[in-house]
Amino acid sequence: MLDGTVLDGHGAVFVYDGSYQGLFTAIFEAVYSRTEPADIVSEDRLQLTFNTRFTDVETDPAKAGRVVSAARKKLGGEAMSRIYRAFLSSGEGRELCIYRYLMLGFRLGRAANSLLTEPYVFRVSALSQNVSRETDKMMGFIRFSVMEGGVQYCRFSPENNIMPLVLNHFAARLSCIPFVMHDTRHKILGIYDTREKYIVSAEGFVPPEKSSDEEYFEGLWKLFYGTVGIKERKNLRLMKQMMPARYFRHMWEM
Amino acid sequence: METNDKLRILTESAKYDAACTSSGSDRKNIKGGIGSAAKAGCCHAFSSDGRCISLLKVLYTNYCINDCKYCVCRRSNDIERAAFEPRELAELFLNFYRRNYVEGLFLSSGIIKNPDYTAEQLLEVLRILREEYFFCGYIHVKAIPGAAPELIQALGTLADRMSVNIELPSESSLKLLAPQKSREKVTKPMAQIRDGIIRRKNEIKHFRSTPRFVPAGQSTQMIIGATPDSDYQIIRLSEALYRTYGLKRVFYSAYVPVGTHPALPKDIQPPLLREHRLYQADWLMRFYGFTSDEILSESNSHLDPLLDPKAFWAINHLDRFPVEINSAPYEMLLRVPGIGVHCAKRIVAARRMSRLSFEDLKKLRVQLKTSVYFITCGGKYMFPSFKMDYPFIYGALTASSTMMPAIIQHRQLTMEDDFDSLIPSTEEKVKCLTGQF
Repeated sequence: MLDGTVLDGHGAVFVYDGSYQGLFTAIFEAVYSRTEPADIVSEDRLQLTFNTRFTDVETDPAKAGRVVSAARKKLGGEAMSRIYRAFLSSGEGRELCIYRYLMLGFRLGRAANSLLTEPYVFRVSALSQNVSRETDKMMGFIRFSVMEGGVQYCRFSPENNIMPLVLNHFAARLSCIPFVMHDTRHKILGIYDTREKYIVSAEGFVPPEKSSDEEYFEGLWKLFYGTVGIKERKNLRLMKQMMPARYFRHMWEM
Repeated sequence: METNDKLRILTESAKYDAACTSSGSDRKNIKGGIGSAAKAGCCHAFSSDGRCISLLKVLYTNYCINDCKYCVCRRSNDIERAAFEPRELAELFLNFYRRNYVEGLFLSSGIIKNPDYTAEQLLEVLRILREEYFFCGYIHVKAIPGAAPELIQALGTLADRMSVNIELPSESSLKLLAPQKSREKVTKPMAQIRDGIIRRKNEIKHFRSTPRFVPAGQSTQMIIGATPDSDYQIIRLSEALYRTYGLKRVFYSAYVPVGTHPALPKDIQPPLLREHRLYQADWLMRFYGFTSDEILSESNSHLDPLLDPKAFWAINHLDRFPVEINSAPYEMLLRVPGIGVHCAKRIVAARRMSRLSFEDLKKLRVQLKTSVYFITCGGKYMFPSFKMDYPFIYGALTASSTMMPAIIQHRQLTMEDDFDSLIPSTEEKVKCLTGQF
């Protein structure tokens, strides 16, 4: 019964495996065991403390699916995509905010979406916005190189775990070009082989050599970049405001 | 000539065009093709002047038979000239695109030989991209004034956006500085594109296969500060263009002195503040329900350098304020300085659930810095000392303006110490706007 009524017992920390389904399994367990979670954390962020009850959650797609479809019915698709994006963010305490948002949603339905004065509803929306903003930036700022053999490769280091979003974008756009996207911060690879998409660990990955005419096109782009700015309007402050310096590392025209 | 020389020369000539947006068109990738376009557009880099680079913005050629005095490509100007081959440009572009350097192509051109020949060359570039490489990304192409209607039509079915530049805001300025151009020559292709878009909208209801026609709409550009035209004239013209031709965008481009004609201003800084204010006024007309006559008038024909046009309107209409956040209609919330479209929507959504206080507004991330003078929550100002009083609000809003010190300095040089009123004179405002301070 997903109605978020008063729960007995509290103080348990739910530990899930870091996946979206894992989070929703944890929410399922919390609701059905009538335990108000003190926190929901992924394994890799777990810090053991005294006086805390930990509940390990085993990811179960069926349980997660039930929560997801119930939530979709109550909150609508737009809210679910907001929740998914908030999940991808690196914001502290995002899981608990998502949990509380859902509980509110089960009680109030779609009305919960406009309750932005509730801190966790606002936080989910702010985190989701942050992820969307970074994704939009990355879609523009990512630079591919063509490697020996024709596979394209790019390196980037986003704050949030936006790989699923950018991978989808480029797989749809460059549908007949195989490519590898390397997130050096989260140490994962997004791979597209012109048919399927995979996200795997980047442990031990060594990128292939750049192809021979890569330097030529990089040079042309640098030339274009240098020429298109109007020197009478020079405004480096504005430029850096729009394109913060932390992105420069992987944009070699800078 | 090597491709990189051509790229340098033809970028150099194209960079003064302000339009570099990739928004307004949705194209899905087709099997075996490359590219896609999203409604929201995408910036791929920002150049040293802080402008967004989203498209590979080049001219097909900078050879030109016209002699427009304000234009860097005018026939009488002694500069390096070059022209791409259609295939060369298409392949260069695709190599940029697959590496995610750019979101699409912006193709303009000088008039080589005659308008028809030029349009045919542009058409060939687009044909190669769309029909040989099945490119599904964004293309912005210039409608060449004077080219045959069939050529404009053909370009429109391949491009996402088309534009014809008005360049100068009045007929008299055109006559003086662009003798080969006339308002009529510019509006003819504009009207044709408008009619094409409307026709397509009607036909698609009956035949799903009707080919696209300029799905991202058309735009134009005006050069700001090359001629003595007033801001009022400019926004009146923009408003008329939005109404009559259904334009998606009017771009304003601060004049960078590249011409030598005696009628053109020399040794000026590009009037960037004025350009900025015009964009603000433009936004008010497109998204905030303002008309040009509310923003400016015949007697007050220049935008204020110290206040954005919305704040300027507000302090001249203090009888419409304060606005009660909990009950004001959406249209009135939009008129509060400091509250934008997103904010207004957030307020309307949130107040359905509960009465809003100033604390709640902070939680909703409403910027109170400017709006606080114009709003009440539950009938009360945030600070009881606030009043609907022109000097009080004017002083508060302009206190942090970066232009104020320039005006004070100017006064100390030219007038005796008279600080009764800090409200600047019209002449001072115009100087601020035209970059003379």
